[in-house]
Amino acid sequence: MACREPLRRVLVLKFTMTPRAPLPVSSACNRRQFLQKAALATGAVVFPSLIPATALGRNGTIAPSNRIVMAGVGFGRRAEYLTGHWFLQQKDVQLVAICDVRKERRTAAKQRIDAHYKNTDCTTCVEMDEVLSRADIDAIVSATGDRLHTPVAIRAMRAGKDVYSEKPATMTTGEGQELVRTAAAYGRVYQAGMQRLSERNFIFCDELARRGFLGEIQTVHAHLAPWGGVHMRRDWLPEQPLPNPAEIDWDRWLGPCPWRPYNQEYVKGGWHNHYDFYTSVIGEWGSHTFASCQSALNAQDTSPVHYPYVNNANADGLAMTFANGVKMLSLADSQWRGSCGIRYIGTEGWCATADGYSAPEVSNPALLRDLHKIVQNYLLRTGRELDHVRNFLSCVKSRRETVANPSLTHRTMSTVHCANIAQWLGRDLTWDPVKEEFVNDDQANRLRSRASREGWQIV
Amino acid sequence: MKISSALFFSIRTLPALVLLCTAPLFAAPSEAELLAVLRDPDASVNAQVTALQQLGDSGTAAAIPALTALLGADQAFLRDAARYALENIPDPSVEPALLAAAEKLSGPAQLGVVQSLGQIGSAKSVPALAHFLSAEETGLVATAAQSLGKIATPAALAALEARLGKISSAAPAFLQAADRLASHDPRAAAPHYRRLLEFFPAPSEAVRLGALRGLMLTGGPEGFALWEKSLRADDVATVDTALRAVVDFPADSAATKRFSSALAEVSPATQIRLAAVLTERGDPAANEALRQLALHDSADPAARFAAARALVALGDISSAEKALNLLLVSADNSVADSARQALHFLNYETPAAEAALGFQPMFNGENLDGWRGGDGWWSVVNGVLTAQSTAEKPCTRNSHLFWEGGEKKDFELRAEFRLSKDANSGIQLRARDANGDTSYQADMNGSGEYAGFLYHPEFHLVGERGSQVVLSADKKIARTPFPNKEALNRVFQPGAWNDYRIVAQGRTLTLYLNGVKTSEFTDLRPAAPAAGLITLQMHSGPPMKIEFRNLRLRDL
Repeated sequence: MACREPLRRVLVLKFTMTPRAPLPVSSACNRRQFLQKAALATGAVVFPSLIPATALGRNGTIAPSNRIVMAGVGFGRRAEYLTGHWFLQQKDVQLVAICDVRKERRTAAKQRIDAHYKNTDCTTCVEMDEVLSRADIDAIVSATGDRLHTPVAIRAMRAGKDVYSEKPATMTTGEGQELVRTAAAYGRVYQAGMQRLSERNFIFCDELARRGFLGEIQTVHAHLAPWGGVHMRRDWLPEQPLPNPAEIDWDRWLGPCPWRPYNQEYVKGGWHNHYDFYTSVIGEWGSHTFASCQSALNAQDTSPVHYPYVNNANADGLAMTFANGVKMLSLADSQWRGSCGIRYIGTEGWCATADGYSAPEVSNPALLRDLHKIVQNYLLRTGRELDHVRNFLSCVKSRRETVANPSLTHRTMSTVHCANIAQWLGRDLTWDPVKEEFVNDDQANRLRSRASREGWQIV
Repeated sequence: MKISSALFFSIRTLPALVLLCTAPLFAAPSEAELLAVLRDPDASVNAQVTALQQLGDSGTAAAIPALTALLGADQAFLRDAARYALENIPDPSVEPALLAAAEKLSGPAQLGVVQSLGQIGSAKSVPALAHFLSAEETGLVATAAQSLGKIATPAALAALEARLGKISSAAPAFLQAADRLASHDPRAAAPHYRRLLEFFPAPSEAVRLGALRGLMLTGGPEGFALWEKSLRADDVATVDTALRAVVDFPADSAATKRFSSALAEVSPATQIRLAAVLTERGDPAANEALRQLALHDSADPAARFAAARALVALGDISSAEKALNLLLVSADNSVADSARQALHFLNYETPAAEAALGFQPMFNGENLDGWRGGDGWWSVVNGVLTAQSTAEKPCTRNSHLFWEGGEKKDFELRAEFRLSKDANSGIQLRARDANGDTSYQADMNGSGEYAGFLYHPEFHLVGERGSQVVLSADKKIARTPFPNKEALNRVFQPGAWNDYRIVAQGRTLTLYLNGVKTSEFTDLRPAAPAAGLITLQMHSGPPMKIEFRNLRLRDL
């Protein structure tokens, strides 16, 4: 029910080309033409939605200092970074509980959190229900392995909690559909960890593309990690003695995923490259770079319609095509000087950026002079922040939608899944983004969902 | 090909080796070969599980019997793998096979089959699943409820409704079923949402809010009445649900008008959030109500600001500007500040948009082409038109850099400028040649004291910042202050880049500083120049640095 029509491209009067046809979205999405159209057509800019600090407390009174109480679920290495650098720093967040199937991880996380707050209040648990049933907890931050991102998010949202979830956010298109439905049904705020959507250089490039500064966009490039592989394994690692469940609960670690004997490699990060746990090199960086590209192309509610099979180990040179002819090329090459690069190429110019760039590269240096203004324009028009976690937290308070919201997240990951499936099946595929099914390919359509283990049906 | 040494295999399990290949994933053996692996007593469990997954990838009805047989296997992972395959084979005989197994099996095996019926089942499975709602084992009951929620036929809904309040899993499943129904038949779903809301004992808060949302969206007039009530509720979660419904409600201008009319009646915090979701909804039918709020003198300033923002997003920029100009004098400093920033950005248009309006650049960013005079003070530094004096080399006489674009009559000029602390400069308008200080000047100095004034050599700071001024034919000055005159003192940003927008039309010159109108001056004297040159001034005085960039102009 809840869905959004993509931004209609309105070309400024200078360009005489006819606007591209809108990208196909579900017929139930028929709203919101005016929002961006008004702003873009005149070139006029919308201005701060910065709600002045005096306003807007969650209880309806003027109280900006309300704290958002959070629990962490799945707190390993990535969570260490998230808490240390992002969440603990926020004055309006209180991390009160940690849930992890590994005792070593729970203990370490609690130590870090207690040290920060200078108390011993942080609780730990193995079973998620213990945090989901707490009325004092508003939201969770989930940094589990990829396989559990959607199940954990859905469980939390059904329990009335808002969710910040690491990426890649889904394992199948079916999971993504349920993610979108659940967030809408339960009115939850959800942010996936594609933080470049909140970073200055990436925003600048996205805006150049969206607002016609580069002319009509014809091709975009999305970086894939050059060392990863697209083909996943299904074999089991050799069985090792099951650890004490008090140390690692292997059954919970697996969750809904197909069982295999325990091997410590899995829990030490070796789950990468296993079909049941990972979405390949395409998901690893594609979850970031496809998100930026699709956002820049106003394709937040759709995916490309054509996916070729490229017969190489890491899906390099995979040219996906949107319904309107725009191409998205996933590339593992070194045209970028940093990770998770993007490049947008239009009829009147191009731009590119990646991690670590002091400024984006642009075909016309004069555009860089307006970088600050263009980014400010975006922030003010959307009411967002140059801070992915702050965007989540302010949306928790205002109930507006985040930037890496369920719809963009689901559609970005749908692109990942379609691309993966074409490589795995070894043939070109055509996708219908409105019906969310492959055209004339029953075998590909089987891969839109995966069965859950007995007792683990969450999605 | 990778082979794990811990796996034992015989020559008969050659297909198993192939199955363990790491790439590509689906270079699968034939269905017959896969079924052979399942029958092979020496096949490793990994090989069997992989064969089952691959039967899911490409198996047909021919595999169903073998798969069904494994639904009751001793080992859970074999049962799971069999269901993995069965859920993926799109053949109509899967469902009856699962149903039969559900009747025969018990314990975890049965539970798994009931899960799978939820994934692929149809109306056919509802009677069996409904029956399981009365089972002893709570896990089975909950799973059956969940599965019914996914199938969502009228019979499934009825079965779940009969268990509302008796089993805890019925309500969330009932909600899911209602949502599924609503996605293709909203009107049919409304009674189910109503049932959930009216039911006693009430379901969980999360489900209650989901039902509330559902009824708001599908309940027609009743849904609207519920929406209006919810927006005024005491608890935040109910208000939140109503707010989100504004975005999710289908496109319908009458609905938008009704939503926006609530702006007049709710608390300031809710006004702000309602304005935000009306923006997200994107329908300008909300503008009438937004205007009323934005321009309402005694409304909360932050709420007025939110309404103004929404107006811009929804296309009524002139009303928004009007409201923002009034908000500049707000007692709430952060609102006033936000309004100032907003007005600034309202005046920022992309180069392409300006070109479309007819703006032409006056300065090429590289050299002084198009400019003459200036007594040597001016140069181009890093793309910026710069005049700089020092203690050793002070400016002792006003100097002008003349634009060679010719005499301009009615025009709009836009430029950015930055001034050092003691700088004094200005943009001369409709000037005569040679002597420079002959005519109107959009004034500026480092402290901002003169910024936003229109200066005249005979009448000095006559175009007062904060007033509409008329200079009569007999040189009498009449001033009408703007309502926000006070706030205009804060518009200039010392030390930063500021911008001027100057509109010369007939006898009236209007100045906008950082997007805010600061001066409107009408010269009724017969001698008032109708046209003239444009110059940049370097004023005599202490050492100073004056910078201009992005100067552009269009004829009106």
